[in-house]
Amino acid sequence: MGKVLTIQPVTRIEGHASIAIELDDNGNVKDTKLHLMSLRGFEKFIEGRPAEEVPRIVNRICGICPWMHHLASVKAVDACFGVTPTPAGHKLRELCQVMAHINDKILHFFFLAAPDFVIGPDSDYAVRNVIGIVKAAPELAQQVVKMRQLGQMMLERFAGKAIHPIAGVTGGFAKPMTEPERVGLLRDTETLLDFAVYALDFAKNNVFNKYLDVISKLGTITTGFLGTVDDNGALRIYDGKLRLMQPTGEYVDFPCSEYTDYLAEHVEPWAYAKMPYAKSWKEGFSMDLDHPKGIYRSNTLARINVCDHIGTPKAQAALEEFRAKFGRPAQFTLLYHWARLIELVYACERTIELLQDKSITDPNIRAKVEPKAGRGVGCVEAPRGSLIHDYTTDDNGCIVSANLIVGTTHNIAPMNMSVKQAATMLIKDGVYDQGMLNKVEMAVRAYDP
Amino acid sequence: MSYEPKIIAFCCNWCSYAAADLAGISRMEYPSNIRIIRVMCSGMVHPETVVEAFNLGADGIMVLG
Amino acid sequence: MAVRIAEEWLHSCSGCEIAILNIGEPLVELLSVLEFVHIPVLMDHKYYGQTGEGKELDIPEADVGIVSGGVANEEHLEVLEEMRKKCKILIALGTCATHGGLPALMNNWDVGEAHKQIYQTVTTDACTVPDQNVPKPLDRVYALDEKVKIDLMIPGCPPNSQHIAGAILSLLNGEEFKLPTKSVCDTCPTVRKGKGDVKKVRRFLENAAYIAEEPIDKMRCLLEQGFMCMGPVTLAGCAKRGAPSCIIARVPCRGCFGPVRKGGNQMLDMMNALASNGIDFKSVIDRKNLLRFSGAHGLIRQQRPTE
Repeated sequence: MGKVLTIQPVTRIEGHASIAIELDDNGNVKDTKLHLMSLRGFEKFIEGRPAEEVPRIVNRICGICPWMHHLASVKAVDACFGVTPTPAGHKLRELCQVMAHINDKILHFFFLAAPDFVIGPDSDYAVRNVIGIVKAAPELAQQVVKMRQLGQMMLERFAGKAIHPIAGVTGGFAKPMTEPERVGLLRDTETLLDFAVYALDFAKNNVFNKYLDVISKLGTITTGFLGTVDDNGALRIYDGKLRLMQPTGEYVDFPCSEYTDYLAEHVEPWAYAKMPYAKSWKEGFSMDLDHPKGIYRSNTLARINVCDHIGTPKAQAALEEFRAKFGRPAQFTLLYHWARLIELVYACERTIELLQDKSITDPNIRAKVEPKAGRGVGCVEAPRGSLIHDYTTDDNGCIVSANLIVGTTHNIAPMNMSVKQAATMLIKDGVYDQGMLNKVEMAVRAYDP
Repeated sequence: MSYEPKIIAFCCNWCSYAAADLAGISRMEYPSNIRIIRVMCSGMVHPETVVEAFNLGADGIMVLG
Repeated sequence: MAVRIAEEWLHSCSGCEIAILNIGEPLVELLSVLEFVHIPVLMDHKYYGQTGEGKELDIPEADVGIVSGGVANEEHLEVLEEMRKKCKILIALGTCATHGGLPALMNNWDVGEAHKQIYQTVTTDACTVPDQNVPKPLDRVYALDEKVKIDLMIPGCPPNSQHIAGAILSLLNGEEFKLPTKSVCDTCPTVRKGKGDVKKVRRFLENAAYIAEEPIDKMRCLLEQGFMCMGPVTLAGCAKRGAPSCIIARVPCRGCFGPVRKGGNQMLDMMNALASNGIDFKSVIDRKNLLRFSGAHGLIRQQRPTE
């Protein structure tokens, strides 16, 4: 009987997970499992709630990306009630969403992922963290903390709350933007854009080129991808159509309201999280490393792969450089980090675009709303992937049933595969150590679950 | 479903509790999921007490007096 | 000597951890006098040893323990009990930890039945509820103080970063830490004119009446405008920029800091407040929703079959 190595909890990720690596008698990897430990049941307990309250409830699904749940939910409620938000309401929502992406990416790259690269994957766990970075590179750390704080406080100043927002409302937005607010936010975003460009350069020089060897091997699997694009195929994160790409690069586009024709969710008895897969490929579901079936990935690398181009200049230049190096679709798992920083640049540039347009200060921010029976699907690109909220309401405008596909879950099956790939590659003949196990976790961390 | 509600009866010492006592002496049967709490006056049963009983698991409350 | 801190998250969303980070630059200074010994969101300390060979869940000893999230499964309980054992002072951070928070809305249903339904949505393939090597759910969601002794409660969804920093600093200096004791209304600058002619509360289907260029203290109280606002029955603490944070967005309060008094019941208190002001309490369409942040401690109970 071989033994089982347990990595519990998986750390520097957002949720609760553990990894079990089962070794055979010779000490080689027989199987691995990524156990997702938590189930809160939002789909159930929003039943009966008035739909307009739900965006203020489901934001608690995730404290790191509450804006994404808030806005996907607001869109779904709009669709249930058959209301179209006013143009200014729409713009303010998108603005908050892209601003939230800025913070999220700084947080993930520098606070959660960077210690593996800046301090080193094999270093002692007591220093391999953001506190270690504060001690090893105080200037960088000070700058990072300052920039993330700036981003959070911009949202808090304008929208009342940065964590668990309330300002998105069915029909539009709860408060208009004043001219002084617009000018202030624009000035701050320009600072953030400078930092984003610096961060991308920093990472290219000090992380990606240095660890290219690891990047090309660790956790690499071959899958399809899911992301959002506009009618011209440009990267979008607030709205657009979903694009599902096969590993070969062929793709189909569809409106999010038709998601049930393309996606389904598989459940394994050892993980609470469901595992979405591409039903429309008609090949079923399998996490076999050599012959995966139905497996696609979401999150940054997926969006960078599915888009034809990016609508903002600096991010487009970064995309071209990335694509020249790794092709399309790029499959190396650790490239998620690189793609994340390209999106950071995009999010800053897009925020500036939105703020430069003075019509964002239009006071007509909320359309008239009548609660009624209906069904509505809302989708946004959360940092962790395409986030889908699907509600049905009764005559009183209260929720009858709900179905949620949360961004992270698209990547549960791919993460399992990456863990298996990494563990099999690293652990041989019963030899393993802390550094190896941390590298297995790095394969998970890339997905930013 | 085998749902057995828990019912708390706050009974006044001078009337309803005496009546319950008499029921006992007369060997009359009543379901065991009614739990009697003797109080010196039903007027002393504060609404907060009723709420607390619900929070602690009671399904129904009677205040008798 | 540095103060050792251990942090854990249970039935939570990580918003409390983000609130810790939102302390911002002062946090960097604090780090020179704090030593984190365990904090899964930032640091790689493992329960069963770094190579996973330990048999018993182990968290290092610490002076201060911070726990966010409620208790909903066996693993949460095990971690919480270990934290209590290893930490001299244990802080419950966030409304999930202090009052159950939103996940405690689940207490309205039988957990087993609800889970079955969650695994039967339109997109889910036929399956049974996962039960292998995943922690077994408890019968309901509990606040931390229902399971272990808690030394300090810092509610809020999310909690106020200044409270977190304040609590840590007071502990460092050996001072007592005091949270606000008043209601959200006491920190709200909106204009109140006393009992009005509101007879029913409205759903938030249209925006409040206000002039965007004018500051909050020129806007009429949202409850007096007829919107359900839970300021009167909610603990203060969210006002960081001169007004409660939802009011800054011109949106009514939903009670995320929990009841004003310990052990209070936000739903009953709100109903009382409405009724005593001559407002028809039946105009509240979803009463249980008023307990959406404080449903632990047996306040939200399983619906029983009605015959």
